[in-house]
Amino acid sequence: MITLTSSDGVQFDVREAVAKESQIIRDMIQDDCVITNIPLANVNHKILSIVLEYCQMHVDKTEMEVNASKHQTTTGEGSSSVPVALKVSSNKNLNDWDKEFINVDLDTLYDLILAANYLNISGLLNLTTQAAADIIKGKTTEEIRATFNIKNDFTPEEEAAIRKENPWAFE
Amino acid sequence: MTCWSDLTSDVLERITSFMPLGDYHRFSAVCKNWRLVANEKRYSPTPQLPWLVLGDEPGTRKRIFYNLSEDKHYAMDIPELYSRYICGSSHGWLVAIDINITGILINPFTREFYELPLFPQYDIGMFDTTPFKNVPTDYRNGYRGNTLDRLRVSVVHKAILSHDPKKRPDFTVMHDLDRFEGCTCFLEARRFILESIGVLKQSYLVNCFGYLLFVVWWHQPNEEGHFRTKYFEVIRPDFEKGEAYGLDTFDDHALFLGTNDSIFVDLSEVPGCNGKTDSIYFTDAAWRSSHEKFKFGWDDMGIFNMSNKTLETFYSHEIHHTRVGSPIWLTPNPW
Repeated sequence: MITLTSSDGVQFDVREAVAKESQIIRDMIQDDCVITNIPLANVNHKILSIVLEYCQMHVDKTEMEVNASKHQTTTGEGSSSVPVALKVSSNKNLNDWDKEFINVDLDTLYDLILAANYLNISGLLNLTTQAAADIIKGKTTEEIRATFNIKNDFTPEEEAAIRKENPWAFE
Repeated sequence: MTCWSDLTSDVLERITSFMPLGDYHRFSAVCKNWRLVANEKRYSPTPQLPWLVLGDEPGTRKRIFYNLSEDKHYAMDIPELYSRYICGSSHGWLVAIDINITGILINPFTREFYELPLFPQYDIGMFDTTPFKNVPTDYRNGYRGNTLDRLRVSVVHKAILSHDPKKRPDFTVMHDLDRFEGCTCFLEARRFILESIGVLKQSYLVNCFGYLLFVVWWHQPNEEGHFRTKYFEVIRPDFEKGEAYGLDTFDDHALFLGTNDSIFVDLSEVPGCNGKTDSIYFTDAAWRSSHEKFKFGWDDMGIFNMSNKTLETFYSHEIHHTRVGSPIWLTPNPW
């Protein structure tokens, strides 16, 4: 077990495999194999618990698949189609689970992006940045600014010039 | 406090990697930091279904582009395409010719263009030899009196590019001139005669992720004498064994067929894709033989399902007939 401590001092005990979903933690453990307590200065407990939920789920699913394929090799030929089907359905389930998991408010999504980036969890980083792209999808520039509360820092002339480059995208 | 505008460039770049082209441009206009990131163009826009290039917008000379993924039309003002009809689409470039048969290549998304070498002289010479001897004499006497309509119907049927001209300057443009006795083409050092029986049967040679397929497109006239797609046959040749067998499914793939270079898309690689797998998306290929009111290639567009051989439509909007081009597929290649 490894203890992860959030920026606001909350401790989470997790299995090594779960913590190692994060590339940065994986590197730390590899460099120093006796490490058991890792403080995470940039992630508060609320976000860390969500991140760990993601890691836990993905580790569990991967282990399930490994077990299923072991089962296949021990039972020998004749059952080869079963694990393939299992894998497909578990991938589908995991995708559905991810979709449900990432259905969060914008502030949480923002924090999750920062956490996934800081901890270097590539699956979670892809999931969160894609969610942000999906929110942007089909919106006008004004709608994007309003959604993400972004101030327009262009002068009217600058903005007009930008739109003129690809006017079709702004009609 | 969340501050989306100040996200680091690597995170913002990753967000852009999941965006189709239109979103990418709108993203780049949100604020200065986002614009800096978008201008880096580290990632190509996320893969999308091909777009459909249509005719002019009524009342303007803007060209209409239809994005199938979004079910949305975009009007682009591209003066280089005024009075030119589009006879080819490859690697994101359009081949467009005007009534003097001067051709250009243009990438409508970057507006880069190349002028193609003139080919009237070449053509006129060709017309005195077979298989062009059957061409009506008025085509041989130069091109006076040419109209876009006549060009579209009678001269260049289809042009494709060997490469993306921006990536390889030694690209080749292949024009399929009027097909009187089938079309000969060369691919991977093999010579193929693509047999076409008028508009009833047209043959296409398609590269499907590295292997070749023959696609045979059957039409039949309806009671108005208007040729409509009936069905497709897909044949996979095995050159080693000298055999060929029919193919009854494309699995997760869709083929986009028409005057464009044939595009195979693996729909499982297109995020959020509403495309129909196992299908052929076709645009009208038989309009040259149709009656005047159908002469613009709009009427026979649809989706053919490979497994159950059914036809359905994909375009449910009002149709504007136009003389500057028939609908043609285009894969955006924006940078």
